[in-house]
Amino acid sequence: MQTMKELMDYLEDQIATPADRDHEAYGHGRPRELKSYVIETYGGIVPHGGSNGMKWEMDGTGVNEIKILRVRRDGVVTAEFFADVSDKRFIMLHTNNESRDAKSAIDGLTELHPPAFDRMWLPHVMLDAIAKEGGNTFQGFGVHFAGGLAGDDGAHTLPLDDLNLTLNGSMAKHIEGYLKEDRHLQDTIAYRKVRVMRGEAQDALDYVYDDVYGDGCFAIKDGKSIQDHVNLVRVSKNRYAKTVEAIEKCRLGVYPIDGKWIFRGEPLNFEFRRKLPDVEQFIRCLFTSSRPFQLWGLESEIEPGYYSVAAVDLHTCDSVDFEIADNMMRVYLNKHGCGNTIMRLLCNLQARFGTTIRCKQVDEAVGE
Amino acid sequence: MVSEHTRLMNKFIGLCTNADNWPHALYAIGFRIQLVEQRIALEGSSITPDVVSVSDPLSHALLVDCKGGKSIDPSQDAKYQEIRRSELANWVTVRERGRLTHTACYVANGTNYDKLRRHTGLPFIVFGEDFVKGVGSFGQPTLDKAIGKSISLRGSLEPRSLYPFSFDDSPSAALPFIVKGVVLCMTKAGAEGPRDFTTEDGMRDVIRNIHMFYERMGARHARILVRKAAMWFAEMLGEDEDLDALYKKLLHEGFDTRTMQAFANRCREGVP
Repeated sequence: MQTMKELMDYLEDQIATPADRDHEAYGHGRPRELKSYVIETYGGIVPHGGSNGMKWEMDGTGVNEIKILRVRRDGVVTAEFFADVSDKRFIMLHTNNESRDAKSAIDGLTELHPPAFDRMWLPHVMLDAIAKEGGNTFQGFGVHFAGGLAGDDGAHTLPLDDLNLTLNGSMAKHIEGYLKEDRHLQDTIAYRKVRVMRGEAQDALDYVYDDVYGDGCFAIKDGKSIQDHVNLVRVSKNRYAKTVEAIEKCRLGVYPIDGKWIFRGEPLNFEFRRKLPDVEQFIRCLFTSSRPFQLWGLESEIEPGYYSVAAVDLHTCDSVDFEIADNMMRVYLNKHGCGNTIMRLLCNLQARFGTTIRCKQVDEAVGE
Repeated sequence: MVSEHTRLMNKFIGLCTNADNWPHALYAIGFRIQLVEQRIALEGSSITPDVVSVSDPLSHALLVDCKGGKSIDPSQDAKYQEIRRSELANWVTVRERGRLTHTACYVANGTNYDKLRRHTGLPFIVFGEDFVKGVGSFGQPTLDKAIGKSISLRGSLEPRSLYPFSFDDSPSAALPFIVKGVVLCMTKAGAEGPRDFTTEDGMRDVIRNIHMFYERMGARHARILVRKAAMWFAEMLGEDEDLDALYKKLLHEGFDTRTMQAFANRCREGVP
């Protein structure tokens, strides 16, 4: 790989053609789809790393900003990605490996301790904004409600609604409108994915349909325009980076400014439009040290039904404190805290509570 | 129990912070916290206000003393009355230094205010059960207008995490934050190997990680805070063998989410 054009041509060849897709209908197996991921690096890009049998290495190509990222489990390569490292914090990965292998590799990369990478977490408001971005056309959405929150010991659970729904096509928005007329569904539909069309729909070479998932995966579903696909990933990544930056402006701490030490920052304000049924259960289910929230915490009651939680984000090893009542939650990121912590929290809460949970600063940053 | 002083600190800092469900009347007119428990040298003496909050648009500084008790030290009161602009200007940041004005005031709860006000001529910010109100003249028209009338606290939720604890708090108020800091330091430890957080050396790092004002505290305040935190943590472990065993396991075997969660669950029972 000596030039960017070669890479783009190569990637374009990896996209299944419409003819391949026809085979799918006749039972010839599922074609491989080109998939891209955006992941966040911690402390910059390093050439190799890993732990517990899971390792990765990055090799150069003829293009300075493109690397080959290989993921190994127990010494065996399980997935390979072209990594665009032009942005040192949020890198873009492209692969046509099977979904299962690619997903497993991304899971492995983002679950290491000490942390090396995290996903790009796209909550509803961000997926909605990506679908509306200039040049993109909304072509459908998917909703997946997990149906509850469980504590670490099985004794604490918070039963919640469950729903699996995928609607594709230009009429999807209309149907969503109808669904939202129902009071119960109004604030509960939170996108887990959106389908986006980019380009001009006349010729398959000039457009692309992508499914954009809340965990930062972009999977091509139709069309062959690699340029449109890569642009979609890049535009989404840039919007995400800006939002994370806006969150990090809220980090609380004492900073040196003009030779003086000044306190700066504010809590991230989460609003629960539908009151939590049981705040104590919510806390016991949120702070379990395990996935997906990865929060360790100790709560104290400030007044009946209102708690403070001194907590640690085990993924980033940062201090993050909470104040939680049935209608709101304040989250305090410390001076070194990572904005991605907030996106992970919001995204995973919305997968359980829908858009009844919103974060003011994220809404504002995405809306700008 | 959280001390009244810590509660007032959080409530006042909350007024200068953009937090939902708590009034931010001072934030709205530009007040931002600049100093916390910083000793300010005066001619021949010194004073340590709990908080100094400064509004750049108003070029005005508020020197705040939070009064959890019912008495005022007359010599401290006199120093607040006499502090000069030149003495303050070295410590705070405003664009127009020449225009800097200031007010010293007390922050108290509604119950203690009646007793306290008899001992001083300085203005007060009073937190009642369901209101907050400035009482007396703050000498700055915009500020007087912003807090001169009662602001309702009905439905508001007082912040607790802005100023986590001081050495005057009870162990039960401080320990959730201290234990959190210990967990934080253990997860970060990596190759550095185990450290004993029941000692002042180990605890210093913990406090640095969890108390955002630690680095800016006066040296005496900071020293006492670390000593007390180490003592409280050691006492908590000393009173619960199982908790102590989990702590040692984490310390020596490193990051393991199951043990960490077991440690959290045991702490819930162990925090006095």
